Amino acid sequence: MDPFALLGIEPTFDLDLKSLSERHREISSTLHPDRHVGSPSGERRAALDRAIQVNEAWRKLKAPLSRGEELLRLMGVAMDEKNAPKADPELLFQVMEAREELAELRATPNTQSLQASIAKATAWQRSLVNDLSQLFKGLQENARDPQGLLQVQSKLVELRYCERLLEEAHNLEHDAP
Amino acid sequence: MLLDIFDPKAPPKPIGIDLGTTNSVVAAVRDGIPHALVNCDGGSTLPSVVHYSQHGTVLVGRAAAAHAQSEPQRTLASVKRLIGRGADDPQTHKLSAYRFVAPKSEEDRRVVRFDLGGRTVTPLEVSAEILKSLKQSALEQLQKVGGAVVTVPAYFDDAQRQATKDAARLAGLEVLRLLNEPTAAALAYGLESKQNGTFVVYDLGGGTFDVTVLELHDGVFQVKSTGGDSALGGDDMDRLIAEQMLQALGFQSGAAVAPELASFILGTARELKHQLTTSPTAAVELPQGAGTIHYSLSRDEFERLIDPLLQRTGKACRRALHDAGCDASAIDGVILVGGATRVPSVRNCVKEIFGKMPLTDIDPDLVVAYGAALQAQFISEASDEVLLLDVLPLSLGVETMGGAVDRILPRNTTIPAGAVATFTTYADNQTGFDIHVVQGERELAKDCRSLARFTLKNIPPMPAGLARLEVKFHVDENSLLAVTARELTTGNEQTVEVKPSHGLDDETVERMLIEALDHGEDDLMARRLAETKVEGQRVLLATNKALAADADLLTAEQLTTVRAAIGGLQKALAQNSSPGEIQNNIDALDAATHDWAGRRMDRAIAGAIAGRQVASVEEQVAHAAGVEAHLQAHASQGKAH
Repeated sequence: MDPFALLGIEPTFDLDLKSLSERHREISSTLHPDRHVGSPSGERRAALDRAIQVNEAWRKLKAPLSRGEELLRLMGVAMDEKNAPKADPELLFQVMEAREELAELRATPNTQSLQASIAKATAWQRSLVNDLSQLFKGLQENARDPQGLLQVQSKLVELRYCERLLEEAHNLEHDAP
Repeated sequence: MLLDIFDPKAPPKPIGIDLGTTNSVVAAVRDGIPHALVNCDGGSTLPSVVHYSQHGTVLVGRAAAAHAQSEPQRTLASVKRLIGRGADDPQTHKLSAYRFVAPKSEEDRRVVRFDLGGRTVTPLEVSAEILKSLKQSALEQLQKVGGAVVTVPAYFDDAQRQATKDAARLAGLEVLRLLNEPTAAALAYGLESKQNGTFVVYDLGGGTFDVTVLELHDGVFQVKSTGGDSALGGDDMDRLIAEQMLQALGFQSGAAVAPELASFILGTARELKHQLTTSPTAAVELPQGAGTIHYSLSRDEFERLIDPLLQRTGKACRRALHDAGCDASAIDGVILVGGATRVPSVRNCVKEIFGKMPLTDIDPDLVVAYGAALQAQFISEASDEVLLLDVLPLSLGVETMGGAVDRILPRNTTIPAGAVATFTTYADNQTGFDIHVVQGERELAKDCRSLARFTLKNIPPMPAGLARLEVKFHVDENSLLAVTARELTTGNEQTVEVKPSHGLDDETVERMLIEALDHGEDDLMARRLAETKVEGQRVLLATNKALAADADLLTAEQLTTVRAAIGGLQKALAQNSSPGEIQNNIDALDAATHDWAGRRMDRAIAGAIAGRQVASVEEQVAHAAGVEAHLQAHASQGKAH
């Protein structure tokens, strides 16, 4: 289901996250299971199903990666395993290097280097989100531009690697498994 | 209390219960304000201790605790630390006065059993005794008790939640909701202060630690993240002191200690801890041989002793802040919950982490029960004054080939939540597929909590990688999980439904319920008939209300079907049919209104969105136009579907 339509939000990459959360709160006020405790089971089920869909839509739209994937889907391009473009060898090399750095930090902890790694990955993430915003703007003028679609796809692949790396770094920071 | 006038026509009063590791509290709302009810001990906090006497009587609270030293193995305390845990759990084997039944089978391992000599009980049954006692106290003061909101640590996993819910059912309570303790505390505070902002709840109880970051926004309590440790609390402080005392008595660390002595030492350790809250030193004479030895502990020493525990809470706090996407400076207030937050160094630790003095206006021992009572009242009145949006505390996933975890729903996902994952076969002509559902953050399945295992059978033989197997996760508002799996390739879908278990299935709980009642089966039948009738009336009322509002969403033909089903249910109720017969008619009406209910929810969503548009129409004309277009697109999509 189209998460933008479900939440009644205009499909765009540059979402105002505050009004998105507000919309989610408004809809939740009518659907949340606590509002239907005394209702017959059929109605409770219907409300629960919709509440789950609305929460999932919200979760997808909050994060730039899944929001980008949903926008692409609306343009008729699915980012599943079959259709996702292969990652650029240069990107893979870059990620491998960064992961080795983290592995070293796990063996011999160094807060300063870890913070530097996190800052680097965060800056990378920010620039990718910026690039995606520009690319999606371009696609607004010409939704079928094959070049633009391809670029979006490869940026999303890059963002996925970047976020996985960032998560790993944060886990290390918080000494979590 | 004396002036309370009993009105026989008054509706049953909903209650809130804080089922704590050390103490439990039952509360109810009177004139909009939550009050703790008086328990069988005559106070508001009931020690969570149950004594099973040799003659078969069961004592709860202080009367039970009085037997702790003379009959430690028949006097069970802190069972919350074991509820929903397996027999092999390391928690089970820590310094403990109890005798456990050795598990005989794999199924047995999923639950801890206490050996009382002649009979065994599970933590679930012990918890049910505490809940029964609280319910009885509530009955005496409120005359009629309605549904109950029961609180659980936010960090409880699925098995621990399910076991708590079943304990409440076994105690004869209608569970309106399992509510996370920090969220309950925030509700009690938030409604009092009416202040919007971002808050942290630091909840250090007897056996569990929770930290929750939440945003309060005009009555909506939105949890951003939650973290903690479901095995860290005041008990651990007692244990550290107890270990020191045992060393002073000449025991090697880890040496076996007689249950009577273990129980005595733990009790003494707790008293010393309490003394150190107000005085700089505490001392006690410990029996040794014919004489005694002097043992003393200063507050400084105590603080050094528990520092590693506080460091662990600090780590969880920083992680929760990160998960919520905010730093300590953005926090508007820190709420303290749980008896262990009375320890001065705990307060200092909180101040250091968040850079501000924590709030302690409401008694940390009662605040959770207050929140639970408020939520019980709101749910029962179908009030829309507040909305609690909570999150899944621990990630849910499926074990993949090689023992890794494929995360399907990440922690801190807003609930209710659902997700679908597809898998495929890894060998040619593979006809069965094992699915292992786990909960936790670790990368390997063996390090996470195992929730359920099942096999999807009868997959038609085909080359590896061709079959498509779909696993659906469904988490309700209590953070309770249901899993469905089906095979999609052949078109003839087979579904396996799994309710993760903690060792007791529905039939077992039902049987225990029958055994617990004096006239067993007869009582249960009578109760079920009464419940089914009420449910039937409720369904009729709701359906008629829905018809008045949304009949236009039905075709003439559908309307006829719904009316016929209404007639059937009315007849079954009027003729005093059996519970089964009434239930069949309820189910039939349910089926007849199923799709319609979905359309009515869509209309409700559209209404919620449209209401907002009217409010801000001037500043957001352009935006609203976009929304409208999508609503229409969505509506036409719905029709095509």
